[in-house]
Amino acid sequence: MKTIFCIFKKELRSIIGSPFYYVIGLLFATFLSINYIRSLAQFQTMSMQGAGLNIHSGLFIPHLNSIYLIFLVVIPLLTMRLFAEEKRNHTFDLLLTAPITSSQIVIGKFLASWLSVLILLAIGLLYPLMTASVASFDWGPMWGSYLGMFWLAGVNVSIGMFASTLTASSVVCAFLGFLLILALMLLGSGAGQMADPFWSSLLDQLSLVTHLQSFFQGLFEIKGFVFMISCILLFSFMAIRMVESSRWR
Amino acid sequence: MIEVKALSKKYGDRFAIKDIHFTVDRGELVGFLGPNGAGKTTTMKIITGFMAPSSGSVQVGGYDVFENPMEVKTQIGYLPETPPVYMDMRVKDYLKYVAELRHVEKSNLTQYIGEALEKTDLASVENRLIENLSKGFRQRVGIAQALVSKPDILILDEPTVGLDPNQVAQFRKLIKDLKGHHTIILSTHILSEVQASCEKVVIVNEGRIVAQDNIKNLSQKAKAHSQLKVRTLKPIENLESFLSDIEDVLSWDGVGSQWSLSLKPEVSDGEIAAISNALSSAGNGLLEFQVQKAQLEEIFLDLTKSKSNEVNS
Ligand SMILES: Nc1ncnc2c1ncn2[C@@H]1O[C@H](COP(=O)(O)OP(=O)(O)OP(=O)(O)O)[C@@H](O)[C@H]1O
Ligand SMILES: [Mg+2]
Repeated sequence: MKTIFCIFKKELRSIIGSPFYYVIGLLFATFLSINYIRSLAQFQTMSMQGAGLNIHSGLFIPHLNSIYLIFLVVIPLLTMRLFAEEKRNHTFDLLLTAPITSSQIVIGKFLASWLSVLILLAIGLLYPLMTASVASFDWGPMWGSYLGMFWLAGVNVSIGMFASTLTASSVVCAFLGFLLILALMLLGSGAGQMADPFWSSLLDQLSLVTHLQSFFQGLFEIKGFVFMISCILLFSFMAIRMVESSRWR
Repeated sequence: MIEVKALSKKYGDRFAIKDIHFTVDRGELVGFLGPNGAGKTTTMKIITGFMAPSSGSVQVGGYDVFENPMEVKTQIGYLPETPPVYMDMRVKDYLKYVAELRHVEKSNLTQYIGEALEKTDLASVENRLIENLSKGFRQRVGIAQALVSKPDILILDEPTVGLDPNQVAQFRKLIKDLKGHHTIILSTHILSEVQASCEKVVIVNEGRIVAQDNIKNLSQKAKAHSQLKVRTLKPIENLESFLSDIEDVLSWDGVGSQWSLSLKPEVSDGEIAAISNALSSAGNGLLEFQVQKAQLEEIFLDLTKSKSNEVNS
């Protein structure tokens, strides 16, 4: 536990202390602001036409979707260095010869990167908070949505981290992470095309989007949690295996 | 303390090391000597548990490195070939991180870090970013990192690479101070380094051990290459005639008044006296007559060269 915390602290400091993180944060906020203002304008015209949209699906869902999209790029960029950099700088030697286990290394790194992404997510939460000062709305679906995003961040971080164990080149790791996250995202979109109802519902249950959507609607479904946590465990486990296997080459 | 048995490591189908055996007792200081590519780093990586061997075993303090890695790793401080430093950390923070990873008690942290900084002469840069340090300083941070948890065993892979002569001298002093309190294995391809600080030496070449002994014994074996240097006032025209009846001279080389003679390993002092008598009675005016016991250097060159010839042929 102490060891995990020690690695966590060091990783968090090295992520959050780097100028790179601020550049990412800035891009993240800019992208969200532009999108938010656009959807705000759209929402305004639509409600003036009397379309009767509620603020959650009219304004906040597009906002959440843009966070979801930008995470696809931002998370692999934040996680790419986790292991690739250690290998390239030979600091992996230090970790692998210290009296600590591969799981401690992976968990420490995972938690630190997850937190660094959650800080970005908190920036995303500022937009609805600001809106709350001028309009009143039901917070239920909002918390549900952010809970979904919380887990989504965890899943994507675990994927990015796993990708980072694959090679010593950060850029390649970021790209692999991006592809893996994209693949998981697209997995569910095949569901509609499947003629066989068995495959269709299986793919649907394996789809990140399906579970995320139920969070967005403010539904707290057990299977949603189970899915997200299983993804995190699966990719973290694979990362641990990769770290272990580097001893056998 | 450290027992290495039949250790082999294959990269693809090439052996990096093959059938390495040696033991190091508690408190011993062993030099691990070999030319580039001999397998020093590979062996050290296996002892420290960084890497698994293809076959063979390593026991450290009674524990097998691969069955009880934690027990083994807490006992070892390791300086890899490239100092494992984080460029974006400050020297002191870095040492604190390493100490914590190595389970140093919280109450001892400040003291241990202070001592490591002092021993490696780094106190003046303790708050600098490692990124901004020169190569030699980074190497010293690497050494400090190996010492910081006060491990029983130190495994140092080419510790003096990149250090200036002053620092090399300081490092040797440090090693002298550590000797006896720690068990130390130190690799190098520089012989004088082993001569300066180690009592025992393991020489490897092409992944195999070619010699393993203490320095004294090895130096004695150096007799095999004893040389006799002779300088005379007048040129010696017919050296052969002086030496023809002295059997212990193997070969000679030189011109005019400067000669160097190779002597047989078992040459006795009496035989050497006979040569000097023969030379001085010839009336050429003997100016210099010097017996040079070969340096370890030559044994080393000899051992590592002949081996590679064997492999090539
Ligand atoms: N990752 C690797 N893949 C393939 N071969 C390797 C690898 N690492 C080392 N080798 C080979 O193993 C042999 C031993 O290498 P090692 O690094 O142990 O030598 P060394 O004695 O430390 O040499 P040096 O004095 O140059 O540091 C070399 O022939 C090297 O080419
Ligand atoms: Mg080496």
